Amino acid sequence: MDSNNSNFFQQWFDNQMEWSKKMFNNNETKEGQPKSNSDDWINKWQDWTNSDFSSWTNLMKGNPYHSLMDQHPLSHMGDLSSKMKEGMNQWGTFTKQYFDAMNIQDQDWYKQFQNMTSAESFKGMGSLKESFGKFFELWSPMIKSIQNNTFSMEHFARMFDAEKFKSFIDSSFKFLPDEAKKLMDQMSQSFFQGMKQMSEMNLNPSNGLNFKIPNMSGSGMPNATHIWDMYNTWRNSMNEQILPLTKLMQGNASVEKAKIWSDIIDMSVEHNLKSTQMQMMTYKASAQAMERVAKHVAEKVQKGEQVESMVGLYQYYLMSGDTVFTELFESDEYSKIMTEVSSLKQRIKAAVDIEMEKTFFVNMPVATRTEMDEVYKTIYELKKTVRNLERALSEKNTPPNNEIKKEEKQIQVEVKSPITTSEIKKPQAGKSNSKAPSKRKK
Amino acid sequence: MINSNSVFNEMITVNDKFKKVYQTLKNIDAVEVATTPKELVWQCDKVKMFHYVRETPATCKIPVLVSFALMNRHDVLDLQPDRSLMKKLLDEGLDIYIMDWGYPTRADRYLTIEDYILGYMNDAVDFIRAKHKVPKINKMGICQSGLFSMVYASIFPEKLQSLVTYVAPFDFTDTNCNMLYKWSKYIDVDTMVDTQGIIRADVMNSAFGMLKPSMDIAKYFGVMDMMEDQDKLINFLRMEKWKNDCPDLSGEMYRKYIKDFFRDNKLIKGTFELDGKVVNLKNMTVPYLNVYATEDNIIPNKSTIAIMDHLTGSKDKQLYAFPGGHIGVFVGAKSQKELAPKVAQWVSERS
Repeated sequence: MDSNNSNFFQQWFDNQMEWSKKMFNNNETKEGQPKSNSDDWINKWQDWTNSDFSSWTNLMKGNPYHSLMDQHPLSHMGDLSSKMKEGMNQWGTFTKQYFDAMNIQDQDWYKQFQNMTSAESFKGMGSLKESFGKFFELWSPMIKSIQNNTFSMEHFARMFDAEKFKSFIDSSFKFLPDEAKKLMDQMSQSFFQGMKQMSEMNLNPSNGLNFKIPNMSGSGMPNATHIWDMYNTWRNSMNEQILPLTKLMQGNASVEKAKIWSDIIDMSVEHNLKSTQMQMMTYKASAQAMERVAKHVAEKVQKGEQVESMVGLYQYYLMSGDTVFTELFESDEYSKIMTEVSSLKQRIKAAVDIEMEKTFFVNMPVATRTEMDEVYKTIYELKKTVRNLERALSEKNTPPNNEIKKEEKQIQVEVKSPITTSEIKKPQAGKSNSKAPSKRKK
Repeated sequence: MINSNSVFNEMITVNDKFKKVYQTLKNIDAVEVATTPKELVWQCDKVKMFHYVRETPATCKIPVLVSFALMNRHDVLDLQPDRSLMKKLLDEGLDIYIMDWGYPTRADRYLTIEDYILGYMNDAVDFIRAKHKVPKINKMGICQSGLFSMVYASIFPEKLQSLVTYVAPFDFTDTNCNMLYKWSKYIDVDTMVDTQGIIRADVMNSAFGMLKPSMDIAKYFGVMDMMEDQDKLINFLRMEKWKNDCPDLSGEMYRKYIKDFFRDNKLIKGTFELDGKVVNLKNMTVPYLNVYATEDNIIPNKSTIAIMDHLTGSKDKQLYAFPGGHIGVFVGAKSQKELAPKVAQWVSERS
């Protein structure tokens, strides 16, 4: 290499190092920690992954979201293809386990009924029985004190089993049981991670990370907002470090896909957190309703009145719940978060569906949903055009004052056959319809 | 007094009732609704129109076209023989056609409010006018279809002899008056429609269910006690069948419905457009009867009543306060005894 070229590359290298120094020197750390020495950022990064990050992940292991962050591909870049394969295998295994679990016991009972309405009603009664059974479980430790006229709010608070209460509310609101929810989360995240890793072939894993996640103070599960803030801090820091490096690379389809899957993961994390917040609000409202029942019982006991039946108590709980829950559902806070969760869920599903279409169906002779939507739009517009023309013709033939001529024969039954897909002309060999769906996008 | 024995006995009783429910429900052959005879006379795409078969000639010569909300089936108007608003109106001498909006699928995602009002509804009205050789017909619209019928009447007053709406939402000024109205402020309707295409029935049902969360559980206590009364049980199952038989909604129709009505209240403000033309309520010159239910927890009374002040073109308009709930208007006993005869008389007098 001649001296000019050597100088050019040396200059380029020096520029890169200068830029890296600026990048790291500008990255403030928190809590009075010294700024990193940009010359040994690799060592710093290794120290952080070996100690600080590990302590953080250990702390987060008590938190159900730890696996999401721990599995982020930018934290653990490894053998991508084996991870992908592992992810797909896990997906299949989890799916089977989930559906096997959800289809227990109920498979044949539908066949006992002559019609589905009766079957569905019986299923509804099964839900009532289950819910009442769980309510009974919650209150059975308190029966003795009610009988002995010693029941009070303090007694209720002492004997109240939060875990059984949660199970009761989960069954009432059809929340997924925790284990199933974890399973679903793991399934989804494994799948997303696998798809993202498949797309990230070109990303350079040796990125410098020089930031400090704020230490979590205290013990126990942090609240959802705190977790979201932490995740955002971590993600933003990683983005700031990586973004300048990604600009050095040429944009290609893999980078784009990686970004898309990264966005899906973000939405998924946000959805889980907000969904949990929403669930928490429901638990709190349910607790209020249960407290009302306890107060009702305590007052009766104080007055010397009898508590006649458990079914009666349960019905009182349902009535209290109506008041409390409608208040919650009508609140701006709940309305907002409910619609956000719903919107996120739909966006995640739509984004995953589109990526699945692009990834798996691109070379298969199967019409995708996106393509069918284009066909539906075309059919709709054609039908509309035809109908408008028919109406215009009809108006032209109708007398100005809209009176029907007496000599016209009575109109027979007019049944317009819907245009079926079989009536759409198939293209001849070598030719295409003028309104054929657009070519499958790769 | 509650004690271990009494609780134990209570659980046994509940279990026994549950077993009996299973045996009884297992032996019910079929649950049928909408059994009043009618024949298919018109169809366009998935939308159909039926003509109720009369045993005697109608005393009211101008036929009536009834349309129900798109988000539920019209079968609730003819749920059971002794609680059928349609049957009662037929007995009172009306000649009735009814629209069946069908079951939209993803292929129908692009249908708009224009298609439903200016397309299907208008074509159905024209069909009846031509068939009976009359320039005008009577129109009845229920709930959401009452709103659509009002829009229709404002565009084509020359085609209608009279208009009756039942428990219809018109004014959405106060979005805090009701849970559904409040949620419409926050719903990301564009994401819903763009991602799903159609709005699924179970999404709508779960929203309605949240108006009274205990309803879906508490109702079964009553069922356990009605095992001895087959008629009562069948009536309950008929209502269940109707509730479970909900169609999906076309996405584009839903998008405009939420944005233009619930969110922007355009009809009341005078800025609602259909096919590029402003719909002016002052053009609604047709005799009008506005039926609302005093205990309506789905459509607030003030949303229904508010339209009266905006119909300055109609010289003959009347409010009718029905004592009952949103569904009671169609299936309650009072509906048979009081509402149906009153409505039939009002329509006949103007025909």
